[in-house]
Amino acid sequence: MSELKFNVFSGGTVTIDHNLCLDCETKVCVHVCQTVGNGDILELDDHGLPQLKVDEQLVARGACVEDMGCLLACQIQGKNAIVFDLLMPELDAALNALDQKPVYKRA
Amino acid sequence: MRLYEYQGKEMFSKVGLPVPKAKLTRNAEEVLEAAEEIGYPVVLKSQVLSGKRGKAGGIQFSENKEEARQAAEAIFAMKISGQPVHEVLVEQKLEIEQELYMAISADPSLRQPIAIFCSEGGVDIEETADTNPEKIGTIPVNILKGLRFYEALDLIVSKSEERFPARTIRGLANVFVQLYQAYRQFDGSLMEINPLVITPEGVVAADARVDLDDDAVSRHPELGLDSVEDTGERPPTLLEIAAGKIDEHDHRGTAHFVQIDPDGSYVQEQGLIPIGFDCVGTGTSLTTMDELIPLGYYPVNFCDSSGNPTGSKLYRVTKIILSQPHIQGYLFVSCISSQQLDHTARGIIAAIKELYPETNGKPNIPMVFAFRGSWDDVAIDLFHQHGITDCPWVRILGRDSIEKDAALAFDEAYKVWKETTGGLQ
Repeated sequence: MSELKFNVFSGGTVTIDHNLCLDCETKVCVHVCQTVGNGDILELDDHGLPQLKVDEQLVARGACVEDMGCLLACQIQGKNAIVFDLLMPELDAALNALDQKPVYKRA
Repeated sequence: MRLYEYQGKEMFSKVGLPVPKAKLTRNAEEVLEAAEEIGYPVVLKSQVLSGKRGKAGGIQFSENKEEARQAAEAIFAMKISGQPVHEVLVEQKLEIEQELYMAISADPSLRQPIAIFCSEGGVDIEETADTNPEKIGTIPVNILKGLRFYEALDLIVSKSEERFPARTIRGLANVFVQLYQAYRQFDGSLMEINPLVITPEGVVAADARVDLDDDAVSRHPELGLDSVEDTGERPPTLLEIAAGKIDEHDHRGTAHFVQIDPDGSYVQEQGLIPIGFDCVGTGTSLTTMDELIPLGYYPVNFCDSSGNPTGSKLYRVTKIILSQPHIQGYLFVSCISSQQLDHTARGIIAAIKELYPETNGKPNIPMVFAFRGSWDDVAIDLFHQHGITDCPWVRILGRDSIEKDAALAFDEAYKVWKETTGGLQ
């Protein structure tokens, strides 16, 4: 398997790219999830890759507390292997209807 | 959440309340078709969330096709309380013998619903309450038992100046009980019929003012409404609709977002600097606003992200706040909060890093973050670790700061930003 992908309660998915994890020495995502995240849903498998330690259905029902700790820790201490795809179709529609660019796209 | 008149009447119909024959239209041609279908004379009613439609000319009667065309063109060209008219409700003109007032409202002081009746309808009920309070009758409703038919009957008889025929009184009491049923069934906070009219055919709800409990809207998918914060007498913006979905999909914590000045017209008129705004706690929002406005900054949105929200909730609402095109800064202030502020910080940081990928999270507008409460030290460390505080116009404050410090820090950051960049182009 080249990735771990699971659904989260608020709508959307979290994907961890195991190809990048292979070169990661810290595995900080698991550490953060087990210590500061309150969710404690990740563990390392026999190959040293992050996997769910909780049933996927329970994760999708809120066992993942969506603190985004794994994402941010991986960005600066890991290999930037995690993607949170949090759905916001209504924001996309709002942005399409704006007659000006949102502030973060302005010079 | 306040509904349009036509939405309120659709709700009334669902519980069997008598409403006039009507059709919703979106242009003058549709008005004429609807009028033919209903039969002249008709009344054309602009659908805006304002109580001043009649006085503004947004309600007009038409005896024939030519009058209907002229009225429709005039109404569709109107702005009422700043709102353009996009929809007109075409209704049969009622043969009115008498106008009355009837409502069910939540009474926070009694902590239960009250039934209100007045034999004078079609007028401003607040004015009647001031000038002729004896004409208005109210009774509290036991929420476990509901409004009983005989209670409604007693209230109506006690406040009716003239003796109605028995058939009419029974009809009015039935309407009262049905109105209460609608109030409970759809989680109302106010259900008002003004005027409730007596016609030769019986009692009819000529108007409908329906306010629903904002937090209960998501329980009623059958109504097809967007779950948004109360925006008063204007429809919600698309950003407000997007924000409403955040809490609808996730009960963990809150993200209450409302635009105070959606198009930036107020700040422009007042010469103030518009900023995006997020606070943990409504009291903190108000005190911080009080400190900001004298310095010349105006929060163009209100946002309360409290109740220990998830990081993902902050991520989403921060993206929404920063999608406002005209803001020239962003301020986040937590109260002395018991929520886990490092989760809050992570959501904000994730959003900012995603929105500013080229600078790795260093924003193009001044930003100030004040974290005070549980895990505030971790929250502050995270901002340093991700390099966001390396930006010259970003400031971060901790638990030794008050709201005034946050406002002053923003003022300082804004001036550095303006001097360095010249501001947004």
